[in-house]
Amino acid sequence: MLELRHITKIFNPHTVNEKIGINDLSLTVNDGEFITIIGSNGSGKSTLFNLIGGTLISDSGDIFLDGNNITLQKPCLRSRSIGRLFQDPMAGTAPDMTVAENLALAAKSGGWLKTISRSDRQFFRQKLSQLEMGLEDCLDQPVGLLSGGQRQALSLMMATVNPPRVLLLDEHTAALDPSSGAKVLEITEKIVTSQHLSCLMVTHNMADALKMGGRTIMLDRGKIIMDISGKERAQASVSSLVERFRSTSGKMLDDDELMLNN
Amino acid sequence: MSNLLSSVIELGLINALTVLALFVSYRVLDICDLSTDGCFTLGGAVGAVVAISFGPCLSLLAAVGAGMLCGLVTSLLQTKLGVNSLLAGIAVNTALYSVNIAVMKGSALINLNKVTTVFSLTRQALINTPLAGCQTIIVALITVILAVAFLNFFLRTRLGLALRATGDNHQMVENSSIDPHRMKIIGLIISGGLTALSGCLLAQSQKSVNIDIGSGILTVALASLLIGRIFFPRGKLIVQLVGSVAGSLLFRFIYALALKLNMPAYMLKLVSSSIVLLAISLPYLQTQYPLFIRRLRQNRRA
Repeated sequence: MLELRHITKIFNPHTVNEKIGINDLSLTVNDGEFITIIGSNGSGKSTLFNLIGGTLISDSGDIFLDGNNITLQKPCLRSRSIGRLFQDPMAGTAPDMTVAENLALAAKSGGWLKTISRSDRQFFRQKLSQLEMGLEDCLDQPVGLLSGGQRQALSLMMATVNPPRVLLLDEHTAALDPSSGAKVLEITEKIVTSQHLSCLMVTHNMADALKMGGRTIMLDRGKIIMDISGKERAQASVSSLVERFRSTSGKMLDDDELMLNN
Repeated sequence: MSNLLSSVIELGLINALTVLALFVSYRVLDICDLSTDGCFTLGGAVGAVVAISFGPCLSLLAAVGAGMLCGLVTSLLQTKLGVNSLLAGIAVNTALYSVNIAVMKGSALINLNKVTTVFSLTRQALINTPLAGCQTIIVALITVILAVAFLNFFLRTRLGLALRATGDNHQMVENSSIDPHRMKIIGLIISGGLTALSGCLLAQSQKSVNIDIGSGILTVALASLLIGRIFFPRGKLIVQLVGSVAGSLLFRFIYALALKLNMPAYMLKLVSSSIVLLAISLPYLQTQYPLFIRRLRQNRRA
């Protein structure tokens, strides 16, 4: 269980550029819960992920993961239990290393001085074939030569090969072409449900936000302004979401045109 | 000619250890470690002093240890004190000048003529065998083979993969719950050890060490590394490692040829600098040249 208690993060405090990133936000993510997060640009979605992932440290408030206070923990320690994917498909993999080498780093099987064995390769091949993107035949190819969709699918596999306690997906399909984006989304749903992962997914696509997972929250100016699940969510439509956003925050979504089109 | 060739191979192999050190710091970790010159001299100085007091075998170990310590200091400055990697290297390099003279007990030169070195030891062992007189090449070759074998194993282990990923994609390493700072420390310790070993062997093969023995070695080794890369641009790790050694030999060969053509010996550093700059800027110019031509044409038309 991931628990955020009264988290606040202010950028450039006490200057003219002061900006509230996250404003007294509390959120509880239960085990196996899949939450989609929407909100306009600058509403604090990425800041929220950076705080959970440890790239940023909050000014006040605490973050608990399974009862342990991780508020001040280094990112490299947190990432043992928090998997993360970024919008940029290049972010999650090392381009000059092969697919197998990337996976071996993520899989962490055996000690530090262990090299990739035949059984490791067998395991990787079997794992990659689940993605149905032909990656199982590219074990010895440098990752830099893969397509964006393949790289993102590989990143997803790397983040989940040891099931994390929480998976953070930061618009991980936004930079892909529509068909590979849909494919990666489909794989995401498959992995998250089959491993029963707790997952937070930021998306700009309202339809995806309602379709995937079981709970949707909307951020604005660092606060949760909407939190729907169950029946209420099942009855919500894309247009009702946009309408709700307008009425609550009193301004248009920056790019609702784009979202309505999807 | 055979004399010339054997000196090319000797120097090429001994320098190859520094080239392998740069393979770890420059190629794998993407850090330009400017403390290399001082670390090389440190290896020579420590190796000489220990060889005089405790014998040749211990001298190699001591030199490697001193180099590793030097790498540790440089890497701690970068990772724990937030010093820029170039600045950390420069600072350590400058400090090492004093340290090296202190190690050599206040003098800038130590003569090893009457001291037992690894080479004189091997030379005695080889008397009356077909390999008599080849002690420098043999010792250097064995060391280089061991270093290549070690790196070829190490860089394929999970720790080695983590090291390579640190230079390739810092963020990804952090997300894979590996501390990139720790990887930099490990990498620079290894590269420092190899650099100092290289300096120690050079000093013992020349039978003397002076405070300037390492000056410019970074550029020479970088030139060798880049030459190796031109001929072995991609491929398996072992190919790249052997390519780096070949680059070192090739560099020494080109340099020897230039000497034969009456280039004065003091030109070595100008030549190595030029090779480094050419190898780095040529690929860049290749991409810029077509654009330059197009702009020129457009301007002429306008």
